[in-house]
Amino acid sequence: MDKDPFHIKVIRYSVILVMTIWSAVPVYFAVASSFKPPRDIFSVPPTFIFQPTLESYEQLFTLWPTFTDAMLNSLVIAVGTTLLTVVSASLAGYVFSRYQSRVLSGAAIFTLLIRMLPPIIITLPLFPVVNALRLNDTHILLIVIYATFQLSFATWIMKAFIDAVPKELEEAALIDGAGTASILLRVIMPLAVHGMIVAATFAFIASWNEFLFAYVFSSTRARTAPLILSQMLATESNVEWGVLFAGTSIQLIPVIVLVLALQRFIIAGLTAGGVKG
Amino acid sequence: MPYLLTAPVMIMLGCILLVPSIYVVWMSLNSSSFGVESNWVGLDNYVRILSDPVFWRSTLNTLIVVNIVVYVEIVLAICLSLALARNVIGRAVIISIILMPYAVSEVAAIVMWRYMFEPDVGIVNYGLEWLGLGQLNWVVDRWHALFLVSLLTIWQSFPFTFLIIYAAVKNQPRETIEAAFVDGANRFQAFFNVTLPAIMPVVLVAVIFRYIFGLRLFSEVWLLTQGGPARLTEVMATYLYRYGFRYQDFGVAAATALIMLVVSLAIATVYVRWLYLRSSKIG
Amino acid sequence: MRQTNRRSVLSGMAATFLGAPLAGSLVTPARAAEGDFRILGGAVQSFGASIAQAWADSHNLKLEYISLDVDSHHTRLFQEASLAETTVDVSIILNRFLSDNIVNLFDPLDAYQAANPIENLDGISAGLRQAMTYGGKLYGVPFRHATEGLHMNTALLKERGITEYPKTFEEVLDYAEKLTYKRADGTQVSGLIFEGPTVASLSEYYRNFGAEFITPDMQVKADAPEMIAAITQLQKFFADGVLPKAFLNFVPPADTNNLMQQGRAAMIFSPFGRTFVYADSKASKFPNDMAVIAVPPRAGHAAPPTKTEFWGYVIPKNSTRKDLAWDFIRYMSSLESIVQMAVQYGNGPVRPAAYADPRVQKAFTYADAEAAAIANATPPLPGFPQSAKAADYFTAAVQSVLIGASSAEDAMKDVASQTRALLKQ
Repeated sequence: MDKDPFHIKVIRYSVILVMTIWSAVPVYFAVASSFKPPRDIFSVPPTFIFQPTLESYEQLFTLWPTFTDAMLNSLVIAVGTTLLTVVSASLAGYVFSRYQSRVLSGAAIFTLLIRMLPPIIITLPLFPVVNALRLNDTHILLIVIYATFQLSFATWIMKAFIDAVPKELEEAALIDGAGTASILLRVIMPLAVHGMIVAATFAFIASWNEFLFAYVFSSTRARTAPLILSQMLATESNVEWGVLFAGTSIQLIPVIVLVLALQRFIIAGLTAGGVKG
Repeated sequence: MPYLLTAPVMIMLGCILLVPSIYVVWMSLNSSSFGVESNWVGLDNYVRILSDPVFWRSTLNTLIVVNIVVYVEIVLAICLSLALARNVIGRAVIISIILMPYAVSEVAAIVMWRYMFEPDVGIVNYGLEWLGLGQLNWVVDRWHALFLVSLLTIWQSFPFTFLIIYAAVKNQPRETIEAAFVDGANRFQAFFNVTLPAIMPVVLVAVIFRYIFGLRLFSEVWLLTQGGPARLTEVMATYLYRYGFRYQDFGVAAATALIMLVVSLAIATVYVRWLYLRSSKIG
Repeated sequence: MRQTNRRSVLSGMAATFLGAPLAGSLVTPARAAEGDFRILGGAVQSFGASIAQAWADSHNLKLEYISLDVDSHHTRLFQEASLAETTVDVSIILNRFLSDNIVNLFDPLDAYQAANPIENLDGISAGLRQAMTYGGKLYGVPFRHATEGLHMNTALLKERGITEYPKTFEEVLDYAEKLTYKRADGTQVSGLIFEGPTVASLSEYYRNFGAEFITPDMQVKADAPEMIAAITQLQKFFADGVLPKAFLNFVPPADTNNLMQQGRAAMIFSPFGRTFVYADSKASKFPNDMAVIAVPPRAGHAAPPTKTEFWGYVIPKNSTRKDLAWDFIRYMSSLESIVQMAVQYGNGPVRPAAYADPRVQKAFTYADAEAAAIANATPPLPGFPQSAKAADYFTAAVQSVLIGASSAEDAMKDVASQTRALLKQ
């Protein structure tokens, strides 16, 4: 039954092929441009065959020495955000999934409602407060802000995935005398791991690329990589596209590594496996 | 105990979103800008926005684009998730590639889109003409522009929708699906009777959040057309940005933000109700 | 396999509980150290970083730049200046962001000038100082200008048999048609382009028709016959392909730099200093063919004021080390610093005397043309609180003419009435 008939296989592989090419082409152009000599980047018609050069990368590191530091800041902030998001959202998602009460439904709706205000408008009232508390330009501030903006989605996705975990397992564990903490850690979380992967991936990517809050709330010490990319576009008279695309390409690497690493946790039939284990 | 476990989420949302939001409501009832005292204007900002034809066009544009992209994304995501659910060679690499549009710097990606879709010499227009499909005249024509914005939005946020649904599909116990086959259900029946109902709660969460995020559609428009030509492709978020950060008219910007919240709420309510009805039926 | 996964997830979670508070304690709130001097500086590094460094070294200070793109920079500046107290010591500001309202956020500089004067402040172009003066008080000290010239790709001129630079504005328009052609390799050339359908990018063009959008004394002239003639001509250019379609939403300056570098446009109205970009040997296909001249006036007419935009230094009212900031401004605006900025970074020197300096003469092939242009130069719009909105009205109107949604007369009449209503508010 694992063997698909031929025509189904053709359909499956065509869908995969088309979607992969569609996703890849503009990214390919951006990455390829980082290896082109500057005058070929926007040539008409596009150059497909060219002598690759590392010139743009050399320039990136000589002209923008701050880029490396900024990447490091981004990494600290993205990892911090991811951890904070996944942990708090898992706890809340569990509660929203397993306990029913008017207050809790209200709270769940609140997490959704509050996320409907465009973030940009929040920067205006937040800016003076953050400065008064002297929290501007710190990593922890960006971590907390980024996590906050991820929480609504992460909580709801965790709730949806925990909903799918059979209640019987918990009841069995309860009979065995397990406490809430132990049920959460040993029964629920391992089976809701797909939700955690989804939440973690998006939290990481979003905080890795975030620009708006980074520009409002960081100056020099917590400056993230997207700010440096935007500075490359900021020069009033010229944009060094090769350098920008080199920065963009380097910035992609950690995300790809993360996605490849997290793939390992997405396994079919997890819930059923849990019943046996 | 349950309340305690939700505390981290509630505290963060409360401090960083709720409190400033209340201030945003106050802002929307005042006229304020940099360097001047703010003064109370009541509902004046709302009246100004709601009597501005450009705002209504922005709202219409937003709703058109968001309704196209959410459903196209969901359908494509389900198709691709099913296609990838069985063993496929190099699946990890394929998924990484699929997720790249979400991960790549937005500015760089949109620059590439502009280059590929350049109205006079872009390769896509060459290709379209070669196929006899005419040109995509997005710098001149409102509908062509909104089409391109939709395409770009789908490209950028498909990874989001896809990963959620893929994780849900992979979360299905194999036994359930196998049982469906044993019962003699064919592929489509198995999908509609077994898989789809099982992943539906997650699909609904994806839809809700895609709507919420989609209604704030900004960069795709701002970096492609800046809302032009002649403000024909303006969307709600660019309208807000223009007032708040170009004209520094915070009252109008805040009021726009709150109107956007109401629109989001109206749409999300439909799906949230659906989600709750479903779970109460099952539970 | 499944077992290992579960365990690694669990250990990850445990690490999180311990790690989050730990990370928090490691990252302490950052304040500018005593020895740091904070410049909110857009692209200031390329404006004069080495000169600022020399000043910092002599004061034993470390410079700290907060750099952002132009729009973000100004939002951030105004947010900082609206706080109870800011850590920013000095900032740069683009002339068009100043207005009667915004100056409330900054210190008037006249008292500083009286106490510890900038040497020969009057040596900075009067037009520029005037544009940073509100209610009789000087709020910003100009240090860098970008003034419009006419750039040409002489290789393309030669291909069309043109051997002389245009001497009148009519000739420029005539060349624009002639230079719209397909090159032997199939490249379509646009004869004359601008950086966008905006007030900033078109003002040099329409001023040479004798038109103006808003005069310095705040008269709205958008519906005058001269302006309608200018926009009608633009419409014709767009229809004839003299302007590429992409002109409707050019992102300045990147898009137009690219068109010039690739030989896809023959002439452009843009700041003199751009010639270094168009002829950049790495990015340009025509590194040796770029020329720039002052825009020639209409036959029988005197040249209108040249379009200029410029940067100045301001001191936020809520900053804490204002005397230090003033000392910095004094240093940066001296004749020698202005000359250095021109020579090292290609900045337009705000002191006309700088053009006579042999170092500037050597660095700028166009020194004399630019000196003449800046002598009679004004910003595209006077500074007033709603100027950005007025500029957007103009852009939308020009776009609607070009896409054929409106006639030049109707569109410009609309702009004029909208803008007049705006100024009345």
